[in-house]
Amino acid sequence: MQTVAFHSYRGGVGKTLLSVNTAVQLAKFGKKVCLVDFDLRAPSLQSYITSESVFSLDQNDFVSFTEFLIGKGSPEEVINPTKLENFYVVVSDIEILQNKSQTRSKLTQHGEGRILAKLFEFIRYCNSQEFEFLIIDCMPGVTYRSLDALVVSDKIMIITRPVKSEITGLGLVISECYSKLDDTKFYAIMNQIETIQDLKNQPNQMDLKIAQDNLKGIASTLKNNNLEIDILHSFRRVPFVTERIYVLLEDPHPFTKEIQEFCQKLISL
Amino acid sequence: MSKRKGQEIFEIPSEEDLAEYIHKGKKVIQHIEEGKTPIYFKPKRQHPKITFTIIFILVLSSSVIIMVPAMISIFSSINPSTNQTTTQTTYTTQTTIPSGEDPVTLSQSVNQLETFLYQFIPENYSNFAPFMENNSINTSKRITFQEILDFIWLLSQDRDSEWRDLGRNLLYTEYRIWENTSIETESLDLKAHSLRALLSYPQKEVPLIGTEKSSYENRCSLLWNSIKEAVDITSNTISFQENVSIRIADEQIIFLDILCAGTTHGELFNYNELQGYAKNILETLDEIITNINGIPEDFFSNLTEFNPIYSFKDQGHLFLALHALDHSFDLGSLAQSLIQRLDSFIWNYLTRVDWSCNSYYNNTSHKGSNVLASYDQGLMIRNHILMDRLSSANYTANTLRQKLSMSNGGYIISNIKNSSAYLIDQVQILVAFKELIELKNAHESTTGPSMASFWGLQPILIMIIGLSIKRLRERKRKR
Repeated sequence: MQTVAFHSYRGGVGKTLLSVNTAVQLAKFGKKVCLVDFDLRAPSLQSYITSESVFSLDQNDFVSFTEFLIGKGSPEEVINPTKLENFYVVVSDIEILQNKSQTRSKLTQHGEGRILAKLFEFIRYCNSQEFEFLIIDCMPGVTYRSLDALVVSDKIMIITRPVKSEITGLGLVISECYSKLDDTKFYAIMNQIETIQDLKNQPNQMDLKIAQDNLKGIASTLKNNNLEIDILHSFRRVPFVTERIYVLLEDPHPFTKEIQEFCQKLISL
Repeated sequence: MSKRKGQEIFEIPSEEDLAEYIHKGKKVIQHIEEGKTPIYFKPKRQHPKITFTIIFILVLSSSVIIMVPAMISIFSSINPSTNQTTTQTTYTTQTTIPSGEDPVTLSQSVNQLETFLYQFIPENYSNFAPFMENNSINTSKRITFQEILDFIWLLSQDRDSEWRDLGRNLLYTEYRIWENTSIETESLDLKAHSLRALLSYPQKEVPLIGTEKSSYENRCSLLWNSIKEAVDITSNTISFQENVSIRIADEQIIFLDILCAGTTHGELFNYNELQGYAKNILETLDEIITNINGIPEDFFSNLTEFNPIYSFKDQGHLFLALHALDHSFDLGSLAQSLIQRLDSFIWNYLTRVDWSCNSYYNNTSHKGSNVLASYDQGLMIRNHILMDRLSSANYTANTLRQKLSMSNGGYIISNIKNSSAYLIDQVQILVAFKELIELKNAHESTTGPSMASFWGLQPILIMIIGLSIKRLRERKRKR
């Protein structure tokens, strides 16, 4: 089983959109996939999957992964099968964070490695159930919980956009965090990239220069460190892409095609 | 608009803490993979608020820590008859700390122990494990079947692959304990020891396939069915002897070990069933331990009468089992509460002047016997390690290592009271020493400046104190 974490320095870069679409597409390719919402701060997987009738999932049916992490329930209880063959989901909820302060601190702070141990227990269970891919949608940034997901993953997909502040953050997270994770493979995924064609059509020369500089900035940040981080895929900016599972659409969408291409690369890694 | 709690409260580690967390986190994973109870690590306080009082306490306590051993060594040199490590037979609270340079390092002790053990474990396992008696090897006696089972259970707890593999080989490939059909006709006690050994390696480490795997699983199921029948649902205890009301602590603990080991064999056991038994037994133990803090050697099913004699071995084993239970099951605060109470008991009453513990003691006075079994000291070291108490584990280990003796070309730790040495004792100590080395390494990679550099920090600390006093005075003036 491959445990693949989708991580980014900051939120809002398209992590969940990419991880959900990737997981569903992998399942459509016949791979047994479990998608885990480990963004405990802002879980959003539930809204993605319950809005798609193809999964036939009811919002009230879920046992929260957050509860499992604090010791309630077993791994099998939190894995929800869907109507889509080979596709399973694990959702989190934020309500538990508003309960007792003791529970909250267990989840939000160091936690003596207990949450990490629970997460690993869950992964071992998935392994025993012969899943081929475990896709973890991580919490962004460097918190103890995002570290947990990074520590247990075999491969980490670093999602980044060509924005100056994110390039600085990427450099920081590589030197402070990723460089300390031995035995883990890192791949960069650039999201919302302007194609050469798009750039050519850009009438404002200043914006054009900034866009080009930012692309170079990402490349040099990835290059100028001790880790080998290849750019696995660049997703082009597609107008009007919203929070949807595009790979389920009957009509081919440009984003679907990109996800399919990305999944092929992921399978062959 | 009220701010949602939990939105912005996820703690961000400092760069130093981050490296430590990853390092220790990987250890937790490694322990789980090996089927061991992970050593959870204590959180570091983030960005402590340094106040004058804290600095003052820091300087004062550091000075005390440095000065006390120095004074002790000065007085020791003045009065050579004072031997800090002499074993005292009467119970006193610990006031001194074993000090002085160790003749050998902990790693050397481990090497020597291993060398000694290898002598007794020839490749064909035909004649392994005679034991020492009066400092000579008694080859006429063999290890009993139950000792082999406990030996395997202990080896499975070693993280070193070689020893761990030895246990697995004995169980599945070389000695093929699992195949011993007579297990099913033995006493319930031996069945329990057998099942614990049979389950000691997680499912994924069982090297059996096909019909062998099925026979192994059948044997485990048969044993499990007959053992769980011995659970008394009214008293929530187990007894391996038929029709008796006396409950033996050791039997409860072995059953708890089986429940934990069962969780690593998901195909064979129902997790909820195991958890139900664990909860029930712990609730009973909770009741017993409430009044007296330790667990008596035996007690009656009505929970009103206890044997006044207690064994450290039971406390130590229960402590290990509780940690494993806490990790394997969702027991709420039950296991943690027992761990804390038992730990406080061991810490307050059972540690002797030389940081070792009595093998037996009386519950009313906590007065111990004069027997200090090496096995118990090994257990005690492991208990300290589980609570991340490096210095206490060190002291007990140092005391124990001073009892190491060269004999017959081997390096043994004899029972402290008498000169017999059992194979199982050596392995318990080996496991304890190895865990201690791991804990030391983990601490060394994370601790700050050593004590030696304390004096180098003194001028800085004095300067900080000076500045703090100055600021306090300025504040007073402003007022």
